[in-house]
Amino acid sequence: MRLLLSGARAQSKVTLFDVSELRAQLAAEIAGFRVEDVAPLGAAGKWSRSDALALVAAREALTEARVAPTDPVDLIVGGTTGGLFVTEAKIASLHKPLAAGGETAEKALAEAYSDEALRSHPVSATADRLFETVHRFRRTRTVCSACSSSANAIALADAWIRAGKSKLVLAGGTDALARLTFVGFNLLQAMDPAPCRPFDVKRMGMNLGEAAAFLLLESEESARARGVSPIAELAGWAIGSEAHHITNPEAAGTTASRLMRAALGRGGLSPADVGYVNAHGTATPHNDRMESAALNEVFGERLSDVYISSSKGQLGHTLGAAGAVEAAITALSLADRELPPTAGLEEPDPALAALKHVRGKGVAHRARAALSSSFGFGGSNTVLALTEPGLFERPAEGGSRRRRIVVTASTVLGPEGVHNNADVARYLEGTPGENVGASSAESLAKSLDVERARRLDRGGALVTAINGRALDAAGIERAADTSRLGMVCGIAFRREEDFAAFLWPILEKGFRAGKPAVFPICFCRRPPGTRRSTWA
Amino acid sequence: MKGPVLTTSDISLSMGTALLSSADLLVADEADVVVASTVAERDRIVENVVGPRTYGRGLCTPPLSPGAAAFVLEHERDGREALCVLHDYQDGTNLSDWVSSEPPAEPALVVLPRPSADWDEALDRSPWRAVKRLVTSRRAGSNEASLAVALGAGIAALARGGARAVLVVDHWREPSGPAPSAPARWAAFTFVKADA
Repeated sequence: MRLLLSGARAQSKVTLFDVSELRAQLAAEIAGFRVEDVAPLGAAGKWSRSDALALVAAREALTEARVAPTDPVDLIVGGTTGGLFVTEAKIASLHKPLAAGGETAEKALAEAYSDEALRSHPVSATADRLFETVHRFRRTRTVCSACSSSANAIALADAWIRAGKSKLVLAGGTDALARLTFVGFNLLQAMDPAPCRPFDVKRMGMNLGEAAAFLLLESEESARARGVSPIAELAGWAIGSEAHHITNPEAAGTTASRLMRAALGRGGLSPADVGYVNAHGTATPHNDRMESAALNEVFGERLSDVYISSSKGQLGHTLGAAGAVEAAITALSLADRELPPTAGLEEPDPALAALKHVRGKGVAHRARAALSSSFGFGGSNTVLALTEPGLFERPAEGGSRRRRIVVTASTVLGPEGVHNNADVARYLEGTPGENVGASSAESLAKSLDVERARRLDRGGALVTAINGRALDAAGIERAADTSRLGMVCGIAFRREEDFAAFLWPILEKGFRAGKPAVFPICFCRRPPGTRRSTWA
Repeated sequence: MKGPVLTTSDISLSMGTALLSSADLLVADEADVVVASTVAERDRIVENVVGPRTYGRGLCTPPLSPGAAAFVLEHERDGREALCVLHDYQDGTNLSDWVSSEPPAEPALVVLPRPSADWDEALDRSPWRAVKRLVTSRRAGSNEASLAVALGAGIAALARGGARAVLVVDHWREPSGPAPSAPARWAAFTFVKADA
């Protein structure tokens, strides 16, 4: 926090890989950080940079929180890139042999299988490495929702504790720099060649960064029983989707403002209670315009009383880790009563709402309550509301906990086609039926509105179509208010052949060979945000 | 969809953790309806390289096909017809933490997405020991979407009236080593007929 308060900035030219051909070459890279210095002896081969960053942060969080090895701790990790930094070139190298087919493809696939590093490829590998080395976690979960991933990890942790599922939850995120994200955001023209300038009139985009951050969450009673003092209280949170565009946010910030109010409401807070907002503040023209509009809508006349800062001017955008990094900064700001600045902000954009920016260096201020906003790629948004411990009364929980959860539709695409509800029982019978899965998948994907689905990859189209089928089967009107309709999609892998096809020309011919329109569907295991808009 | 939208990514159990997280969001009153879904595509790199490396050799087995599924979950409401009730849902890293109780209704059925010696052992120690077990991979194959097929088939058994309680379970352990040091995760879902 001392460095953040001083206004120090972490951006420098990337050294992890060659960026010399790119327009923007800066990132907040963790200089000198090496996996082999962190991973257990002899095990570095299956550890990714994201895993190693996570280990450092997770171990420190458990130590700081005085958690014993036998304490029942659950783990939620948010992330987007996982082991990409080490595996992306290996996977891309399969593109040509696969295109050649035959024995060449078989040989290349067999050789690639022997590569131990590929074990770090899935984003859930980080949770597994932490299970091996940091704590025998009772349960683990990995969530991915682009830039709001680790904010969602924190929100789910709160849900687990309040539902009585968990006593202690270590929640956070990790994301290392990778060629895919660095090149992809460059191709989208979303990166500033200079150190980024959130909310500034000359802002030109973001800088990427890499980080890991974890917070230990528990009930007030649990903390008291363990004899530890809480840093801050997670009073409320809200998660929502914009259903607007694959990369651009809603200009008016309608969903962002709805979620700010909802997060406050869950915690029994009003906008008048808030003294600080740690903004998403990416420094892209679109985000900062949207976020300013949302803040203006929520705080109105009080806008000039609420301090705002974005940590991305100092740490870059750490993608899946950003929500946890910024939640930690917000919590420490409340505890220390000092707010960090927005580095790089010299001339606030007059076209935006007039925000009370923290500029230059940090300011001493008791904020009492604060928001931390994460507005992800594809419109996956999350807002956390934090307060000083015990300062505000949280309202009693509603009746949801006591109501039964029912399943009102089930739709499955399997080898024998697309089936609803009772018809899925065919898979309980031992005799295989006609295998028509591939053609059924094609017809299912084609059932979408072609115009709205044109940017979806095949997997995105499939899951969007099957969601629509299930909602139809449940009799849920498409025209209804969708603000309380959500989706959780389980995906372990993207379609790696598509990813190899995107990345191979970049590695072979240079960055200019990349296709910007393809990048969003390669990014972060295809977040549902890239596919939900077609149905909505 | 403007409610909570996110992805879970937990090797071999992503569908299960999507369903678990959907229930978590409903219990937390963050949504009225949540669609728990999954998708797994045919992909040579996944099936030949990263899949076997991370799942274990036996996971990608024929018949292979694209897989996708969606389950609509909501709070029970008067007058709203439901296929079944999500009676209980548990997950963890150590299968010995599974808290098993008597099947909540009879006849009952256990559905597994693929053969599992770990689950057979856990079930044999539980009140579900005598309940019929069916494995869907024999007809549906085994891939990342397999648990979705097992869930769909289990729910279908309730909808058809062949069972009044269904337990659907899955388990994964990293192929690198033995329990309890190897990373692992499991999930168990009990569904009952709405009138049970």
